[in-house]
Amino acid sequence: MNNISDELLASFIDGNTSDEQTSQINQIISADPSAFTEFLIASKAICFVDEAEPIESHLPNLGIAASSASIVAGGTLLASYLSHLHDSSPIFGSSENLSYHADRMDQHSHSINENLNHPIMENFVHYGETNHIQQQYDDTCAIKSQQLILNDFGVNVTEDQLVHQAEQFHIYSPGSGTAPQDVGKLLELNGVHCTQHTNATVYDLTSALAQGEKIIIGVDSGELWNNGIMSHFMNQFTDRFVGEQADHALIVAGIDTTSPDDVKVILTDPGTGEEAARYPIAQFLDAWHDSGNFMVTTDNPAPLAYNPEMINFSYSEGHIPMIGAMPYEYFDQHIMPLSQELVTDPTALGILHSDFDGMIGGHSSSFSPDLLSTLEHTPRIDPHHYQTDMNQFHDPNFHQPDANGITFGNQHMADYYNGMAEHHEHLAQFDIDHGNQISAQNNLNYADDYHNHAIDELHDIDQ
Amino acid sequence: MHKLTLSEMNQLSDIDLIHLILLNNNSAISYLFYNKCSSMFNYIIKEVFSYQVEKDELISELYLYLCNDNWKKVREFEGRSKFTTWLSVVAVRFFLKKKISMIDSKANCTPYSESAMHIPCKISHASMIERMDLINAIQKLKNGRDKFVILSIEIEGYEAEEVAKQLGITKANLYNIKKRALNKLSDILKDYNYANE
Repeated sequence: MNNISDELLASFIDGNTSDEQTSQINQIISADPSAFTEFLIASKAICFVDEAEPIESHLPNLGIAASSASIVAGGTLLASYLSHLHDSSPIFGSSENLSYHADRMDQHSHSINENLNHPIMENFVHYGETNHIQQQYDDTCAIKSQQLILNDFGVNVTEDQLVHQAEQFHIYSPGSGTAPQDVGKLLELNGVHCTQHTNATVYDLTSALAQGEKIIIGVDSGELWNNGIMSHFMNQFTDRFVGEQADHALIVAGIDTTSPDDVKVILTDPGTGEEAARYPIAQFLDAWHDSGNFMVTTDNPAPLAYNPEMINFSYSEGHIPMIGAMPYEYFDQHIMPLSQELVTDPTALGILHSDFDGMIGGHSSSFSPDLLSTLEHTPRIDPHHYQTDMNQFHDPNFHQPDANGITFGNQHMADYYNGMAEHHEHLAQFDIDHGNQISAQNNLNYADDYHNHAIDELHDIDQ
Repeated sequence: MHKLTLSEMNQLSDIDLIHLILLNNNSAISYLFYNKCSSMFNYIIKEVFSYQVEKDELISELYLYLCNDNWKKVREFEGRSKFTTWLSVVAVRFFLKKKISMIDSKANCTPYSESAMHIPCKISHASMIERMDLINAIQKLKNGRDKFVILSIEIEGYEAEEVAKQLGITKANLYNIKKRALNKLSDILKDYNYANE
């Protein structure tokens, strides 16, 4: 036996020796065949250590499996959901099935937007440790994310099988990663239909989560990881940045509003292997922004059969009852249309996102008045989509004061707010009739808020 | 002390695991030998012994070696590497020593020097400096599978099919790993002025 101690040789293999020690050990290994043999076998043997984490690991403090798309508020699980896939998910068990899937590719690729023009999404990996979340290769973040989602839909496929499949369809090449326009194609190929979105907002994200859909997004991993608790991992990742562009794909697992003043986004990150990494929403939004707010959502909720945590999902309604402190119906009918209107104004985007915390946390029930006032400058996308008649905000006389100094806009806003207050009073009555006291109280609070907004509008005129 | 489940074991840090082993916790010991490191020990035995051996018996002997004198050997671990890396070195050395002693007692076994005792042929003609640089570069590969593939194919000269079988992956995937590992190795070797070689 040579004179390298067990401890030193192991440190050398793990890369933990000083330069001087490295040089000394290297000299011995290079000259001494027995030392080289020991180094060789031991270096290779550690590849066989079973580092796998248990599949049944749980989210701390949340009581839900992190891989489920969930929204949590007040420490209580509010969202666990199910809907049946109307298309059964084929089992992708072997490469022999690829010809069959090639046909599917042609059949379903229409739901993938091919016109995206984003840089390649590459990724970094925390080398040396593996678990069922972590990607095996340094550029398979998008593939691993899709694998996790496919597994959630009951498609029993491994990362290696998907890498092979992706190469066959030229939607991935080793060393280059997956282009954004190709993210989601593996889902389609294996029977899970999905849609790509660009310039999405946190409201779109929330809406998709509330409907039980699985979501992959693009982020600038540097902004995500190189901040706070993750910073110590950074020097273990290969840096392949391309400017400020997104370079990483991961899964949005949920939004945690346990603390309304500190809303967190929960990410399942193949890059770090974390099932439920929690990031402050502002940090998340910065990282997401660099991808052009790119996301891929499944067209259907994940099925109960493979996601037992979705047992409480209202599959008949297709969504969760509450989003944070806000009833889903209210969010869907009033907040979503407004957010889609507002998002087209770049100056409004920041406020749009900052308003999110307040609304989801229950501090407010609509966008800030400053933001709503930008509506008259905002190009419209799809007026027919709105439940409220937003055309009134575009009336040329909207801001012209009358003889009493009351602007048409003020009056209309007050009317609008009063109408909303009335709507919530009706909802509260409905809740009381059905014994849902909590929701009734929430609706009454919203009604109060709207009455106050209306009073403020008219009060502004008096001043 | 309650019997720890596999899930609980998987969450243990090296320090916690060693602590339990030193307390002779049966769950921890079984987990280490039959779950966490089972494949690793099997691989080492396969590499060291070029003939049929009783793997379980050899692993039992390793266990006895480690637990001898109230786990004296394990108590030597200083934590400068992962516990499993340290264990792999200890196991390799233990089995190599064991093999030599077996050869001494049974002359009919294949001499050890026939295979692993020699510097593999692919780098046997390299200069000392080149070998050192190459080992240095390989040692800098952080990904265990990258390291395994490079050592097996480029250094030891194994066929891709055999390496793929050992790792339980497809040949196509092995080539992916190899390609990426070589790229990384090439980047590292650039620092040693091997860019054009």
